[in-house]
Parts: sequence; structure tokens; C-alpha cells
Amino acid sequence: MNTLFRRLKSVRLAVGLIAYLTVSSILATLVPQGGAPDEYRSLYPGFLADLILQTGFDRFFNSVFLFLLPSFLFFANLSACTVDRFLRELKKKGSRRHGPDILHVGLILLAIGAVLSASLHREESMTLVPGSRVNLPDGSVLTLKDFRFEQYPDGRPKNWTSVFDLAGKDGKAVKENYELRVNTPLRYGGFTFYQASYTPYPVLELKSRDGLPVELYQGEEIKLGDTAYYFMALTGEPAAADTRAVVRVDDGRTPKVLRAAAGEPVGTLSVAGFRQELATGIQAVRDPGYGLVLPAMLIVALGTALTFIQKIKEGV
Amino acid sequence: MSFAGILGTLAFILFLAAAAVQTVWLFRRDGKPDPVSHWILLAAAFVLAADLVARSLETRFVALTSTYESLLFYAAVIALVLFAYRIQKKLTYWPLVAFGSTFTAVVLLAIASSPLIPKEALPPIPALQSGWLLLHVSFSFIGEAFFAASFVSALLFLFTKDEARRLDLDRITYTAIAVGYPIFTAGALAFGAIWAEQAWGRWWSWDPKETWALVTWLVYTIYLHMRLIRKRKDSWPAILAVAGFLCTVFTFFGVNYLLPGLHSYG
Repeated sequence: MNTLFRRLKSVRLAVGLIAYLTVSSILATLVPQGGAPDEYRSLYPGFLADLILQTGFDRFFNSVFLFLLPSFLFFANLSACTVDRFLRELKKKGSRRHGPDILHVGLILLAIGAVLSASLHREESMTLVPGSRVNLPDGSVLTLKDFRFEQYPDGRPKNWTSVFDLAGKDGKAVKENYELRVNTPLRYGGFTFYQASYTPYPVLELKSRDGLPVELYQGEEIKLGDTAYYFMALTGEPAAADTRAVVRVDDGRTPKVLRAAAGEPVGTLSVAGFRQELATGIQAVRDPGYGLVLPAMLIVALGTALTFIQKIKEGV
Repeated sequence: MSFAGILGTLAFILFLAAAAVQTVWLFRRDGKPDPVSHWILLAAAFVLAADLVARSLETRFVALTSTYESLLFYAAVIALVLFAYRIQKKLTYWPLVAFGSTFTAVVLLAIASSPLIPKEALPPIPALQSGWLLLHVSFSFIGEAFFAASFVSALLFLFTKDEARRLDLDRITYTAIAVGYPIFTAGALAFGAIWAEQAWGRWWSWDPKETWALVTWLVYTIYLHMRLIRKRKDSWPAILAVAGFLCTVFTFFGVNYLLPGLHSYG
């Protein structure tokens, strides 16, 4: 047991594992990751492509033998080294140096947090247009009120902001007119909400016989009298002359899928035109590792700083 | 030429002047350090800082969002590190270390002035509008400025036979890495991961830039374990110090231009 512990805590093993992880990580950045088998066969000679695919190097950071096992061994080495070093420092009578212990404990916590985060991390994406509602898993309801997209004069994006209301499961307002922006996520109910993206979204403009306007977003359904209208898609760009709206019209007897250009009838309505609006992409993330990773990083930073302050004080 | 452009050119001239003074003194037989180059470098750092402030005022955001601005900041920090090295009393002052590091800064500014690097002062896209950007980029480059100095002293170590001189150079290399490592750890890894979580919802994505920053950190970690725990003062730590700096260069330039990923704008 002692021999095993002595081997496990050895600096030589630590250096060897770090060296292996360094070199293999470098190679992993040079070989495309997560590609299809044909991609590797077109990039590399046959034997090399087979080697990459059979060893799992095409998914290096998920590979059990190439990455996860050596990382676990390094974790065990670091833990053994930390325990051993800490006990040795405690036995010292003079000044003790706990900087490396703090640093190593931070790294161990970081590794545990990273495993928790990687294995239990859940994320969902929602594409919303103003007026859309989403029921969140905890029973709260998010209602998008507005989406603003600002650009610099040269056309580059300046900001995109989702404005929404959030009501708790009891229906009471939790956030009103909350502005969600890139880099400023909202943490609520165990989830973190991110302003992740935006996407063009087609809008179908219809009018009734008496001239009343009706608007439908793609994927939206409206019921007028006994007839339901479901806007499925556009066949092309909204501004193109030959673009048609694909609409399912269901009067309760025989549902029909119609393709109608501007000015043409759809059930008892007619197509007035099409336009494009922007829909917001909001990402909801649940990360059980959050509470561990953040303090672990602070401990690593503290331990690193302390180690070198002590070392510099002692003289190099 | 814009005001910021004039400042950039002035800083480049000051760096060249400092390198010229250092070169003249290298050929003097008394081996004494020159009395002015560090002041010229300090002036150059202030001019670069003024350039970055002018660009920040123009874009109304901290000017650290483009490759050009990062290079100016990097060169300015190297100049400050060299000034600090010249006025400190604990380490032996090696004019060649100062010259090599000044030359590194000149190369960085020469790259910045090349037509391949866009120089317009542009306000940042939403992904870059974060206070963590300031911490992540500035701490990373401050750490790397110390690594640049350690690179030069480690190279000199490898080309020196005299044991006393090697001991001196090893001490300079170690001190520079010992100061740069915690700053780099905080900037490149901790602040970078916190920012990634704030922006993308993931601490780490194994993006090439992240992986190379980790590789750089691992190389310096091996260096410190060899130097601190195994007490090695032979060529291996120096080789690692050289390799570590080459990793920072590849992380900055190589990854930007050769390996596409999430950091393709930085």
C-alpha cells in the first residue's frame, strides 16, 4: 500500500502525465475533432485515418483511454501529492508554506467541478418572436415582449437585446421588462439564461374580406370562426416575386395545404404580403458544477499567488 | 495619419532608439549597462498607453479587442517589465537580456504595423462587450511579457558555458516565470473561463485557443516542478522556458491564423 502511495504521489509521475497531456492536447488541436469518418479519409493517408478513427483520436477530449484515464490518473497523483505534502508541512516546526497545498486543493476541486459540469450540464435553446411564451421546467413562464437588434453604421452588430417578463409558478411577476444581453446572463430558478443568437423569421401578412389585417409568424396558428390557419413556411425570400406562403387551412372538414402568392386567397382571407422579422435565440443552461468551479478557480488563483509570494520572499 | 497612428509610430521609433542605445553599449568593454535605454522604454510604454487611451476614447470601450491593440499593449508591458528589471537590485542586470526583450517588443510592433493586421479603431461586437475581456486579455499579456523576458534569458543560458553566468541567467529565468505564471494563470485560464461561462454558458470548450493556453500553462507547470521541486538547474528547465514562450507565440498568432475556433476574432 505504501509503495503504491509512494508511486502515486511521485513528482516524476506528475511531470510525465503533464507532459503526455501537453503533447497529446497539441496533437488534438492539429487533428480536426468530431468529424465524419470520410472527412479523415479525405484528409489523411489510409493508415493514418484508420489510426485516428480506431484510437478515438477524432474525439480526443472524450476518449476514455487517450484523455479521460490519464486525466483521472493525474487527478489521483495530484490528490496523493497534496495529502502527502500537507502532512509534511504540518510536521514542520518552522514557517510552513501552504501556498502549493491551497493551489493543489483548488485544482482538485476544479477537477471535481469540471466533471460535474461536463456530465450534468444541460442546455436548451429557444427561438422566440415577440409575444411568444415559454413554460420553464420549474413552472415559471417567460414571455418575450420585444427583441431589439442594433447595428453600428458600418453594419456590424452593436447589440441584441431580448426584453421579457418572467412570472413565477404562482403567476406573480418575478422580472418585468427584463433586458437580456450578450455577456449579461440572468440566473433564475437553477437556470442561467443567455442571449445566444438571433435568426430571421418570416411573417405572413393576411387580410380579411373587410380589410382587417391578420399577421402570422412562421409556425403560428390562428382560428377565425370555424377555420384554423397555420403558417408553415415561405418558399423563398420574402422580397422575391415568386415567393409563396405555405399555409394549412383547416375548416374542420377537409384540411388543405395551400401555396399562395401576394394577392391570392387563403380560405376566407387573402395574402397581403410577407416580411421578415428577427427572432431571438435564448439559451437556458443548468450547470450543477457552477457552485464548485467558481470558488475552485479563486482558490487556484489564491494558491498560485501565495506560492510564489512565499518563494520570492525566501529568495530564489 | 490619425492621432493614435502618430503615437504608434512614435512608440516604434522610441523602441528602435532604445535598441540602438543598447546595441552600442553591448560593444563597450566595461560591460556597464547604458544609462538611458530604460527611460526611453518607459517613455515608449507611456506613448503606447496614450495610443490605447486615444483608441478607447474613440470607440468608447477599452482598446484591447483587436490583434493590433493587443500587440501594442503587449509591447508596452514588455517595456515596463524591462524598466522594472533595470531599476531593481536583487537580480544581476544583463544588458543582453534587456536587448533581446526589447528586440522582441520591436518585432511585435513590426507585426502590428504590417498590412496584414487591421488597424481601425472599431467599437466591439456584442460578444466582446464585457469587463472580463479587460481582465482576461490584460492579465494574459502581462504574464506573457514576463515569459518573453524569461525566453531571452533561457536562450542565453543555453548558449552560455560559464557556470556562474548560467546560474545568474537561471535565476532571471526563474524569477520572470515565477512572477508571470500566477498572472497568466489568473488571466488566461481563470478569467477566461469565467468570461466563457458568462458569454456562452460553458467554462471550457476545448477550442484551439483554450487548449493552447492550457498547453502553455502545462509547459510552465512542468518547468516550475522541475525547477522548484526537483531543483534542476541544467538545460531542461531552460529548454522548457523557451518552449513555453514559443507556445504563447503560437497561441497568439498560430491559432488565430491557422486553427479556426471560438476565438477567431481575438
